[in-house]
Parts: sequence; C-alpha cells; structure tokens
Amino acid sequence: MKIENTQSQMRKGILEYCILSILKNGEAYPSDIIGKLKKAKMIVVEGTLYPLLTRLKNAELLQYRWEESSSGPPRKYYSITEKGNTFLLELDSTWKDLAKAVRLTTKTKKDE
Amino acid sequence: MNKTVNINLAGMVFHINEDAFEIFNNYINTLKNHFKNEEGGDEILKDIEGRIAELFTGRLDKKEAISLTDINEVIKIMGHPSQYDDEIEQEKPQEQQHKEEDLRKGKRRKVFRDEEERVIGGVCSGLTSYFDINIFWGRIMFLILLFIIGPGAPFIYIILWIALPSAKTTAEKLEMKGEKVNINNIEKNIKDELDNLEKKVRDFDKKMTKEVFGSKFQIFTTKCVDFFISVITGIFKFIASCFGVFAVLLGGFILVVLSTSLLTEGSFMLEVRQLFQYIFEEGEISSSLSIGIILFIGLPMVAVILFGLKLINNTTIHSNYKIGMLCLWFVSWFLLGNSGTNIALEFKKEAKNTTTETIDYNKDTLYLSMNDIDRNFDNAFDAKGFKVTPFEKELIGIGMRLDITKSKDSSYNLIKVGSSFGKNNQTAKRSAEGISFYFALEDEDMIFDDFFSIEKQLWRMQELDLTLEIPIGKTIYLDDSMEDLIYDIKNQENMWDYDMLGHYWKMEKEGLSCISCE
Repeated sequence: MKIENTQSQMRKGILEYCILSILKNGEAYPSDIIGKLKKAKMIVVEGTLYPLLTRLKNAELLQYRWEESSSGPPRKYYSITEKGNTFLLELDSTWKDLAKAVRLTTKTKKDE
Repeated sequence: MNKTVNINLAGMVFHINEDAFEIFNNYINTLKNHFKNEEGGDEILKDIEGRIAELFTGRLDKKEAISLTDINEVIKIMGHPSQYDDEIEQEKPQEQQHKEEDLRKGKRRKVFRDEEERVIGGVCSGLTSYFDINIFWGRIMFLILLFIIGPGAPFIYIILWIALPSAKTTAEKLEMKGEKVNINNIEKNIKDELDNLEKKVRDFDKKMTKEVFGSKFQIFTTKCVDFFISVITGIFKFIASCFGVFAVLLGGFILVVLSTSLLTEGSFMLEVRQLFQYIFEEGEISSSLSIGIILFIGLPMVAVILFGLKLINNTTIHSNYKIGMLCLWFVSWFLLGNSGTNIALEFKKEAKNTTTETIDYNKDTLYLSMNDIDRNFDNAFDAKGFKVTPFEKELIGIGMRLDITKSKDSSYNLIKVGSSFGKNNQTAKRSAEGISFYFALEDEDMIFDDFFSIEKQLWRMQELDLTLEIPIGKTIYLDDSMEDLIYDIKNQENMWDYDMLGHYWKMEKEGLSCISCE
C-alpha cells in the first residue's frame, strides 16, 4: 500500500468541499481560489483546479460570468448556485460527522 | 540570436522562442491528451490556456519574447497532468482504473503507429511493437505480404496509416510496448479478469448483507444496478471486441480480394472487366463503371474495418475523413447510376436485317445436320444465348432458331433475320447487319454452324432467326444433331420438334409430311 494513494484518497472530495466553501462567500476568479488553496497547502500545481471547476460547473453546482481584464484575456468569475449551496450544506454536515469520528477514534487510540 | 514563433493563446498573440515553443507545444499536447476523454475537456484546456496567457503577460513586462526559462516556470506552476491525478483521483469507471493500473504494470497494449521508427508511416514498426516482433522481421513479413496479396497491401497500409493514431505521449508509447502478447499472458489476463469478477461478486455480497441490514435500501438498489451494469458492460465489451476482430478480418479480406482481383489474371473482377469489353467501347463508361463498383463495395468495407478497429482499439479517425468517405461513396452511386443509364441507352432501339440466300442444290433429298463441335466454351459470358470462344476470346451467339417452310419457287432458300439493339436506329441496324451465319454443303448434306458471329461488334442482345424454304416435292432428313437448332416447325402430323428428329419429311402443298413415320 502506497502512502501517496492513501493521501490522495483522503484529499479527494475535500478539495471540492474547499472550493465550494471559498465560493460561498462570494464570486471569485480562478487565481483567487488558487491563492487560497495554495496558502492552505491543499494544492501544489494550478492545473489541478481547472478540471475541478469545469466538473463542478457541469454538475450545475457552480456558474460563471465573463469579465474583461486590463492585463490579459477575459476572466471567468465563478459563483455558487442554489444547487451548489444545498450540496455544500450536506457536505458541511458530512464533514462535521467525519471530523468527529476521526477525533473520537484517534482519541481512543491514545487513551489505550 | 533566437528564432521566434507566434502563438495565439486565449485570443492573445505571444512571441515565443523556438526551443521554448517545442517544450510548450509538447506540454499542451500532453494536456490535450489527458483531457481528451473527459466531458468538457476542451473547456478545461481553454481555461488553462487562458491562465497561461495571464502568466505570460505578467512575465512580459520588460521583454517581448517568451524564453525557455519562462516556459519551464509556467509549466512548474501549472503542473503536469500526472500531478493532478495524484492530488485528485477522478471519479473514473472501475474499468478505466484497471486499465491504468495495467498500464503502469505495462500490461495492456494498444496498437499505435511508431513514428520514431518509421520508414513510411510507422505502421509496420507500430504493429511489430504490438506483437513484439523484431522490426526487421516485421518489415520482411510486410514485403512478403506485398507479394502474396499483391496490390492490396499498400491499400491496407494506407488505411491503417489513417486509422491508427501515432504514439505521441510517453503513456502512449508505454501502451504501445506493453507486456508481450502471448498465450501465457492472455491466460493470465483472463485469470485476472475472473479474479476481479469474483472479487466484485464477493464485495457485492458483503455490501448487500451490510446494507440490507443497515436498511439503507436506496443505496443498496443503486449499488445493485451499478453492479449489474458493470457486469453487462464487461460482457458487452468482450463481445464488441470479438466482433471488432471479426469486422477487421472480414473487411480486410473483402478489400484484399477486391483490390487484388482488379489486376490479377483469372479472378472474378477481371472476368467482369473482360465482360465490359463485349458491352462497351473502350473508355468512359467502362472505367466509370469500374471505379463506381470499386468505390461502392470498397468504401463500406473500409468503414467496416474502421468500425472494427474502433471496437478493438478505440481508435477513431478525424471526421473529415469520414465525411470525405461518405462523399466518395455518393460519388460512386452517381457513377453507377450514370453508367447504368448509359448502358440502358445503348439498348434503346431495335432493328432487323433480313438476307435471303438461295442454295445451289436440286437433288430430291437434303440431309440436315449441325456441326456440333464440343468447344468447351468460356463461361465468362453466358447471357441471352451468347458465349465467348475459348481461343479468340470472341463473342458468338448460340441461340439461333430454325424454321422450315414451303418455298414459293423451285429453289432451296435460307432466310436470315438478324435483330439487334442500339443507341439509335442506325447503330441498331449496323449491329444487326454485322450478324453472320454460315453452313456447308457437302454432297447431300447441309451442315449448319452451331453459332453465329457478330463480327467483333459489341453485344447488343443480337438474335438470329433462320428460315429454310423447301420447294414442294422435295424431301429433307432431320439429323439428331439438329435438336438445338430447330424451333417450332409446323408439320401435318402436328409432331413436336424433338419427335421430328431422325425422320424424312416431304414438302407438300399443305406443308411438311412425315414419310418415314409409322
């Protein structure tokens, strides 16, 4: 069993949760999102984000609008949809459950 | 000094050093390949290109051209597709995951063209890597095939050239050279698949017990459906690839036969082409009909091969080729229709030509027989009473009809009525005039030829009706060999043609009368 596999398994899903959470607070364009995710060390390379955004958009959890930019090509500004908000709420509770579960199980281990 | 290349990224133009362009182009191709099977792959690529354009703009404050360093740093920021996969495992169908695992182990193989080792298009080198044959022997085999199947081989080569993708990325090159394809490995693969299926069933069993008692019925049903879908897809895929192999073999076979037979002596198509020479003037109709037939049969066969390859190897060709092929196919319809009309026009009018020959004979009894030579006709042309003579390859008619009637005077006459079709009255008439028929007179024997000649004319459904006029009071004898020649001869006894053979017949005022019958 490879550690990388387990790690990526763990990160899988959480990244989508993070993106939706970032967009909950208002629209953003990919560079903003990348900046936040990099800071949090959730991603290393920027290319990771674009397929995810497209996938979320195709699942109708996100939407975007075009905005002209003074320094470069037009930018896509992403925002969360109503469906995305419901999705996020469910993820929130799942995450809380998970965090609790992890806390409980790791704690028990320490006590023994 | 450096040469630069202009590129357009997200609508912006950038100058990029040539060496840097190579690297960048490779990178974009890798991305393209990575996203090509994904829904919205184009969009993802555009987004990434847009972001790269932004990064470029940021780096071009004081200079104008993008250098190798810039490219390397941008690639470092954006990352390679392999890095994306490590971070986010995409939700792939199980099948694909297996495929990728296999790929990493170097197991599954796909056929690619190997352009690095190419002589013409890299088809041979690609195929030899697939079957793990030394490339030298592969080429020798191709040359041998070239001699065996003849002109069909280059044809097949070109189709494969178009149909097989070239191995561009490292992953594809790995796929091309995966594990050896041999009996052991095939056995192993099947075993793996079985184990896999068994595992799936076991997992499913476990899940079922767990989930039924966990009363999560909805999830359970979804899993159920998923499981059956995956089993059915598996079976379907297996059948599909078998079918694919069959399609490729069948299409290839027909194509080889078709293309080979065009030029090889003694083959079916050549016979068809030889027939044309009896029907058409050299040139236009004949060649447009040939091309029409080849395209009409050949193109669907090419499509069958491509379809088979798609089933086996999941290779597709550019839609331009498909549209081109479809257009060509319609062209073949047009060619066939056009030549069909032209042929029909050649048979529009009918004309007759009558000649009367007085036979220099005045004895009382004339013995009629037919010169029955066993010619062993060439069967190539066997329509409407025509055959091809074996040696001169000339077209002759064999379906004459002989009637026997009363002569108006005291001489024996042979009336020959030839008829033929043609484009117009003149050509039909000329063609009818070309009909010639001969007989020999030896002592008391009148010996008819068993064919009529059309004197190197084209086949226009010529027919020949013969009437032998007998003076009143004279007698004829019908030899058995006349069986195929006589047709509906009136006689006072009302006997059938066949029964008239082997008897003496006397011409009376009322018609023929049998004088040797009982």
